[in-house]
Amino acid sequence: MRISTHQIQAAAISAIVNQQADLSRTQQQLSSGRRILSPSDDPVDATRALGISQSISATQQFQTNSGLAEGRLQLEESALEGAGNLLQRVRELTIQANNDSQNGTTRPLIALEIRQRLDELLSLSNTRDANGEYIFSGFQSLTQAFSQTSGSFIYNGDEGQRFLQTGPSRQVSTGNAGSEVFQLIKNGNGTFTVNDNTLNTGSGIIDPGSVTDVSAYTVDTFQIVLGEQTNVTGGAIGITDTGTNDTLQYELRVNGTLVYTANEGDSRTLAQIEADIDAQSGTTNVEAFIDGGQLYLANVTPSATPITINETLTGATEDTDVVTGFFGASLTGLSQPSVSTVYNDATGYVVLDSANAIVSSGAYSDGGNIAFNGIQTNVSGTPSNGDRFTVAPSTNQALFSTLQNLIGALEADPAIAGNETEFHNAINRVLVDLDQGLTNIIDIRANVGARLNSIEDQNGLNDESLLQLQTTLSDIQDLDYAEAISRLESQRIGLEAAQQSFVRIQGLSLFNFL
Amino acid sequence: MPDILNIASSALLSYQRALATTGHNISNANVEGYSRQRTEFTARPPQFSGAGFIGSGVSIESISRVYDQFRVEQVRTNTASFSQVDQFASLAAQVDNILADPNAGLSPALQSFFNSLQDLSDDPTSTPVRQIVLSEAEGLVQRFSTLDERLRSLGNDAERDITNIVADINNISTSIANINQDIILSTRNNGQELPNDLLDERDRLVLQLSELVSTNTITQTDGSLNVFVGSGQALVVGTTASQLVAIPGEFGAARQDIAIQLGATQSNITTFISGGRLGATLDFRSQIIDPGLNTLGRVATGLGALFNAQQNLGLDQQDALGVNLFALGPVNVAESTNNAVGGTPTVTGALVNVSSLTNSDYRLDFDGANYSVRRLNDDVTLFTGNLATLNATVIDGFQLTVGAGAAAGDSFTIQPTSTGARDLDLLFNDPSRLAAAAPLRTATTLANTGDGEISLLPVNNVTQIPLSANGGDIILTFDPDALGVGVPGFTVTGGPGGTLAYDPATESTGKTFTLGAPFDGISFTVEGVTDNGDALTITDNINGVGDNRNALLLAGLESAITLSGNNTFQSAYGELVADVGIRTQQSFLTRDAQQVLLDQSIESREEISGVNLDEEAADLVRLQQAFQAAAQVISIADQLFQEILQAVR
Repeated sequence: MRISTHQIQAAAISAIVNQQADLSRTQQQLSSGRRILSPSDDPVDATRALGISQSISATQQFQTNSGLAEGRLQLEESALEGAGNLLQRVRELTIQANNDSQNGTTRPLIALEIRQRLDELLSLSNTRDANGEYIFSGFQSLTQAFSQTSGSFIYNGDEGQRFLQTGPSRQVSTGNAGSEVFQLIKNGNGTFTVNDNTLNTGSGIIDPGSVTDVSAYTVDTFQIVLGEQTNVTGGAIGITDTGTNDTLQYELRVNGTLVYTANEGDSRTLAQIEADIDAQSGTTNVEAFIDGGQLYLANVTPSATPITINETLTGATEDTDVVTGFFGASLTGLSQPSVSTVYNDATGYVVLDSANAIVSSGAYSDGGNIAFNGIQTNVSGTPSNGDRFTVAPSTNQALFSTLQNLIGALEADPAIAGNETEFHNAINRVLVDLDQGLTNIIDIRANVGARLNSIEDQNGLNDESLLQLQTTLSDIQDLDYAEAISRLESQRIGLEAAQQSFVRIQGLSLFNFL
Repeated sequence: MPDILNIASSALLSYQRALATTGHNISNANVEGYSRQRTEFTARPPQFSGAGFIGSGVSIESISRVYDQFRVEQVRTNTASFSQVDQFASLAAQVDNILADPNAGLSPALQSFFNSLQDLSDDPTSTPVRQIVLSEAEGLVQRFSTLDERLRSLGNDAERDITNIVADINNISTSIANINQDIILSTRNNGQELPNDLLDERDRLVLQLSELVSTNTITQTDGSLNVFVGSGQALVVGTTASQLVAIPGEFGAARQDIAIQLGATQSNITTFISGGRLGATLDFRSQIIDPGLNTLGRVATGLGALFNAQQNLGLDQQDALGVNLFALGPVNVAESTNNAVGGTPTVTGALVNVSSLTNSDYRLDFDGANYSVRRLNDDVTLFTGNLATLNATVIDGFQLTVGAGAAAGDSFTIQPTSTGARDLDLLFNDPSRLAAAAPLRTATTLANTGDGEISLLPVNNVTQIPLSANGGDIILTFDPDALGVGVPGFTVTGGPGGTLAYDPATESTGKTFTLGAPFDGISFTVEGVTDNGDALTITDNINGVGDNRNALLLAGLESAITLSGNNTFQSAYGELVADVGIRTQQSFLTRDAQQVLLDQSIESREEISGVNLDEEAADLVRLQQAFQAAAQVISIADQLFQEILQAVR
């Protein structure tokens, strides 16, 4: 085969140039540390590298977000911890104040501390973060969350919660609205609240109660009326006519007012008696209730005055006439023409719903169970006739109001008789309200803790995926130095060989021998 | 005696000539495209004598070039192919490098922009953070426009290349025509005696032409060479050369077409041009630049439009609904220069759904009865129908408005995305206008006894927002008999009014509602047990400066599948990088393969036609010896003559 001299040179030069290009490429790879110098080197991996770089950057952003979220939650957590401790302290003070060893002079002193705590609670609810944002104002983070205007506390924020992105598909809320933490707290036991009537004169103290049967519970306001469980039951009051001398008369007076007269041969059903008593309740201040064949008497308004029942038999009698169904214990026959029964303390109770229908009744005993509507409570102490307690559905009550109620109770003058009972009732309410508040704070703290944990978990995941992504990116675009250096060496040797052989071959020419 | 002298001198002359030819070969050993020449000797016709024919010496029959037409054409073809891929590879590599640059590509700017939105969602009240979002948006706009500008300027360079290459082609074809003239004049003996060096020169010119564009050649009997380009358009016929011209393109002067001048008319042959640097430049324009601009435009327009849409659904720091942040590029329409003069309808386009946009351009044609719209990337006809239907149809995310008055054959090019990256711009620079907040919030009435909670879902439209201007707050009041006795639900005050069924007994784990039109942009979830009379309120988010809900949604656009082909903004850009990368990589591979083919074909031509100096050296020795021998014959003849003279003396 022929070969032209020019071709020998051209081929040799072209080989050297190619080797130099390869060498230079390897050198560029070594100096940049990158395997892929431009996408055309490996379009698939180069595009993957773009995607992975994006994921890395996004993950780093998630970590930044997580850090911020953690900071905000920790701030909230410490505010909640403060509020929890504060409520705990208030609770101790409340129990201390509830103690009967305290009196009207010492309790206002305790109230002084509670006032300080109230201010502290207000300042906790207005906690601000490093940016000066109120953490409990919802979306209106530049507006002070709570303010005090003429004695009442107003929430100026809203229900907004800020969420931060801590993972590709994970958002964590970094706070709770002030309304949720401090305001939307159900009072009482969370379902209903018990209240004593301010006019109560007895020493009945009502228990906050609890729900025993959720399915039986309906939302309504009930009144527990304390009164007398009379011994008039079943049939009626009546005089059995057995002879011919029919002039025997029975008169019933309530608190001195004649409510009915029965002649021999008459009989009055329970319902008629109730109607008769109720017809005079404007004058007597006594009303009657029937439930379960049992008649109850109670003052229309709470009253310390006992209910006096006078039963009188008048007119001629025959020994064989029998009086039935009377109040007194000894109005029998002709020997006791008159009996006076005085009811001092309540011996029974009647529960009325909002439509004044009787839903339950029973004999009162100190601390005895009062159950109706799927709930149960009890009254302890010695309530007077007509003393009333209200059982109402719980409503939202701000922590501030609870503390204000407490201060109100502590600062009220306890010197007036009966106020001690009112005080205890008020304190009992405050205690359950405080417990509700504490539970709410604890729940939210637990929730914050859970969120912090989840951020922690997510951080772990993010770290892991970041490491994974960086490893992958490095695999894709970083240079294998060992391989590249050995490649550089072999390319260098190749180039040197090409150059040396070129020079040798160039020297070979027949003309040298002519 | 004179015979001997004659014979010897014929040999001397012949060998002198042959030595000259060898010298010529040696001197041209390094001339590109030179074909070595060979001297052909022949015995002179003998003279007749009684003893028979007596030889009368040697003469040169011809000096011919050693040449193989097939191998030369191989070199020519391979040159056209190689120079095409070589040129394409070097052009594509420029784009490849622009896109790949970790600092100059789009990715970092996109990333920074969305990270700044995340920061905004972390801290929506901070003015510095908002300012950074605007700065990053500005950076993103600049990045788009820089990339667009660099691609566009490479495109403009390509247009200049086209003009220059066309001028070069014209020069070379004129030279070929002139050489044809010389060759015709020099050719003797019915084409037996050829001007070798002129032929080489012409081959060189044709080879140069092949570097610029693919050609076909046919040799005529008079020695001239006809050269054709494209699908047989004659560039050189005999001694005349036609001119190529770069003419303004059919759909806009910015993209030139190639035409051949035939007398007074120009015939557009762009689609037939292939090979060489011209073919590479045309390919580069249509395969790299135009798709590149469209892809960038699609990402820019998609990002801008979707960001604007989400911004419109939010509330800014001034308690106003968000306004557009980005100005978007238009749907570009260009009409054909061939359209009927007068009465051409106006055609405009508008973006309807950026998520359906493609990288393609579109062609609108009217055949006299129907309009048709064709997607140029894959040549799929997407629409055929009458004017009214056309104007009512959304095609791949855009909608055309075509006026009346089209003539049959009218044609338009629609480019929905070609200037999207260039035209992306910011519309405001007040950081408080960024809509980080959602427009509505909820409130639970304090007196509620139930634990019912309401939470809003993102709004879908804001036609009835602010509520204060559209009937006031929307209040849901629970009523166990709202929808008839025993059918519980909410009575809605404000908004669309009416009732919404909700049964706390069975649905307290959460029920999602969407209000009735025109409030259907508002959706929310209610959960928990509501009691009679409990009220839940939806109200305007006035002063909600700490709200980041819309900021989260804006930041979420980063990873959302928002563009056609299941693409995020990043992956749509990634597609461009991959596409250019693959094309570049392929052109590199093809170039290497073509290089081998070209080298082989050159080697194969050189094998025949190349000068080997050692061979020439041997020839020199051989011819010199023959020359010396012939000179010796003269000397012998002289001696013979002298001896005869001596004998007679």
